[in-house]
Amino acid sequence: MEAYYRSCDPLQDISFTASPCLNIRDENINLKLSLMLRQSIDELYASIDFFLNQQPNPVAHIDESLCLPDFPGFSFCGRKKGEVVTIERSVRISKVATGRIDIHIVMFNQNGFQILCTNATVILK
Amino acid sequence: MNMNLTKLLLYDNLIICQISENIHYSCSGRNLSSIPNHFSPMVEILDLSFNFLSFLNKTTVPLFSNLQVLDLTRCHIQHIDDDAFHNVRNLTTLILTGNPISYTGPNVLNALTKLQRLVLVDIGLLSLELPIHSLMNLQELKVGTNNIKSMAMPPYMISFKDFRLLDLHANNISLIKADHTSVLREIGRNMTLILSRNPILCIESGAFQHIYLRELNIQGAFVSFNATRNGLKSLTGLNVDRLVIGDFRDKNKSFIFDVNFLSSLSSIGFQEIYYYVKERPAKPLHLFEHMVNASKITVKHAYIPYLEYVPYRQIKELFLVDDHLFLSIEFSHQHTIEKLVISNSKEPVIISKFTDLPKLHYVDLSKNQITLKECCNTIFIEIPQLRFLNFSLNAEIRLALTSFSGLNNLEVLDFHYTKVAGIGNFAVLANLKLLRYLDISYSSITFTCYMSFYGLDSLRVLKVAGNSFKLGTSQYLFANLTQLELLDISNCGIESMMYSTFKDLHQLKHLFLSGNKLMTLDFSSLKAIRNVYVDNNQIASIPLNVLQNRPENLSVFDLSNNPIDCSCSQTDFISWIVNHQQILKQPQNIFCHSLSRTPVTRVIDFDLENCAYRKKAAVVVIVVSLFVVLSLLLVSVLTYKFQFYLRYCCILLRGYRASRQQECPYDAFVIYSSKDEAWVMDELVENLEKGVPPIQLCLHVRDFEVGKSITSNIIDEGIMGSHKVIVVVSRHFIDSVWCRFEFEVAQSWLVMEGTANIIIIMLEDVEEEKTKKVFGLHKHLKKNTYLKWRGNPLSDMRFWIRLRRAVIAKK
Repeated sequence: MEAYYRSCDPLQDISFTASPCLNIRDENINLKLSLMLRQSIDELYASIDFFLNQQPNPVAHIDESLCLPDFPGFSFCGRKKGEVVTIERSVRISKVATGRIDIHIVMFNQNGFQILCTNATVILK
Repeated sequence: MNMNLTKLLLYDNLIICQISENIHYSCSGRNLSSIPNHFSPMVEILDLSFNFLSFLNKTTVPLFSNLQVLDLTRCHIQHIDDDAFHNVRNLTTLILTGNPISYTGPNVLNALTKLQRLVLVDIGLLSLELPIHSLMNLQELKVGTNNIKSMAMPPYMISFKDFRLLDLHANNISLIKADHTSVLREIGRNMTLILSRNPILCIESGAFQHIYLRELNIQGAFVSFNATRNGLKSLTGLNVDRLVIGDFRDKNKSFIFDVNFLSSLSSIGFQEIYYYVKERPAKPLHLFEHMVNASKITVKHAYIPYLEYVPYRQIKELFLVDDHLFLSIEFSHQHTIEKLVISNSKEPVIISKFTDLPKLHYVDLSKNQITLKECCNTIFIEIPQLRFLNFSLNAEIRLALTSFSGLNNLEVLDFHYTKVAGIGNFAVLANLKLLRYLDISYSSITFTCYMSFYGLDSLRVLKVAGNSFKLGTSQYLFANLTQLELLDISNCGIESMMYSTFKDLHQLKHLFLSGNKLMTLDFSSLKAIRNVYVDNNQIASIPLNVLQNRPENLSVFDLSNNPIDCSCSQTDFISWIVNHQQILKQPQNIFCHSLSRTPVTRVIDFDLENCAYRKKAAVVVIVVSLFVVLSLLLVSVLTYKFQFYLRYCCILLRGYRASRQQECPYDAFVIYSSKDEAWVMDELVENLEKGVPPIQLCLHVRDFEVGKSITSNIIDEGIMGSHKVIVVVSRHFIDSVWCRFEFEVAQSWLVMEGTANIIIIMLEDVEEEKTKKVFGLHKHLKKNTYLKWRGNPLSDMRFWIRLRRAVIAKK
């Protein structure tokens, strides 16, 4: 398996780690995405597109309000400018899965400011 | 930010700051290695975040006497001298987030006596022992994401009278001892304490005894379930307005066996509680019985199989959001509750009833996958104040004629994206005289009854998008809604709209007709309208007079994504679009309709000049063709009028060609009028043909070839077949058309041959005026000699001798 990612925001770089190594299948892999905030995220809205095997149209699209004012659920909600945000998720990749998945993620805050933009590619062999 | 007020500060042609309202300078992320000093002295807010300042002292921070907010987030500052802030003494807010500060002078903040907010997030602090003793006006101290191990505040902070926020999120506090809270106990009342995301293991019992706070946030503040349980126990005796507990959504669930761990909540005094539940107990938690004194309860992500009766004392607002599985909701006999929100349930919610809730006015049951066979008078019983009811994003709700009886005070009713049966078929809503807002968008309604909205006299907003109308229903459906200000009938598949439908809606300001199949638009019954949305319809063009007579308050007009006809016949419409972009909603999305797959053109980019050029070209073509037609007509008229002369020219040309080939059989051709024939035959022929030598005359009565046209005979036999032409001039000659023609042909011949071959005999005196009638005769008589017939024997003799000589002369 191979994975690539690249920030598509000229100002905002991100870091991405996977542990243990991505080559392990059928076990939980902890994915960690970190970025430094240029603006606060009292509200945070994410839009994610998944493309399969380089097809032009996304196979899945997710719009989600990650942070809303008034008692938000995620621990990173309400962070201010200059703080580092780490989003962790564990995933399990099936042994039989093959193909190429392209993922495009953008996130905006309450001012419509782009907090994150990244293109990632996962190639399952 | 209002861009109209934004200016740029330039230095060496590089943008270094954006300036708004002349007092707010934003110089974030400009790779600055020092603070620019050419700012206005008026600057109040200065954002220098994400630069490279490394070293701060009196010389590197220029004098800004009005500066109130200084943001130095992530500026790589390592060293701050004692005098660093001497030039910015009026600061109220200082932000130093994310700097790797290794040295700060011991008196560095002493100058900032007016400071109210100090943000020291993520700068590697180890304790709250900060050099802030002189900041008597300090209100907020934010020291999150550091390595602080104790929440004990320095004793001098007791004298900070306005202090109200201590934010210690994501530090390293694992133990809170009783004496750590002594300063907190003194400051009290208005303070907010944030301890979220700390690894708290233990809170000494009594640590929060008799402490009064505005807010305590311990969300995700404990390392384990046991720590949480013991920690909550140790909060006994605390009095707080807002208590935020539980964990975060991105943390793992904790499976627990002690379902009574929340019992210690009963010994904490709180008004409002916010609880994000990550605990998954073996048996249902007794959540609410420990919150009976709260006035506002928000519980998210809880597992609640049924909503038990709880004797709340003063509950006003109850929010149950993102929760799991309500088998059945029965919520009754709460005399203080005003607002109830049960939303976004993970499992389908079954509602049985809400009874005896005299103060309840707001009910939100959205996103719960609810299916109701009957609603709503059977469910909401004895709720006289109910004004707001939200059933949106559920499965299906069936309404009947009596559905809203007893709910006469409803003002807002929202069913959007919930399948609703009944509204389109009966006057179900007729008793809701106070209803102001009704949203039944995308509710799978087909309106068959034009009484559907009967009785809604106060309705201001009506959203019926995404439904359908049985043919003709829409025309009368909105007739009585005289107070209506907003009407949304987008995506209803409407093919044609009677604009008289809106004639009674005198208050209508916003009309949404997007996503239908309309081909025309008419503003005539929309006098007060401000916003009209007809995007995504089938409108190809709108007559200019409709646009010119548009309502005067029209300020937003969305015409985008219609198949606009961009032909030169529509230039008026297109130029209207180009010139009214300020009222058009998305002018860049108004495209020209094209059948082919050529790239779509925006209407605003349409080349109107090309049309003007084509128009000009068309005018030129018309003028030229008109000219050609007129010329042809003129030529025809002239040809008709002068056909004689034209034929004569043809003959001349033909004769000229033929003359070289033939010999002359006659000596002279005689041109005379038939009325003078007696003289010609008796005198002329007698004297010339019978004299010696005999002269052969060509006479038309005798010598013209039969069957040939007269004109051909004149040329071939007469003029070209003879050496000379004898012209017998008399009054009859002048009156005869043929004689005149013959004479003119002969004269032309004379010009071409260049010889004097015409002999004129004046048979009688002819007035000079008359001779002018024959082209060239008068001139010829003036210039040349002629013979005159006198009729007496003596002169006759001479006449014949002279004539004979003249005829023979060529030989």
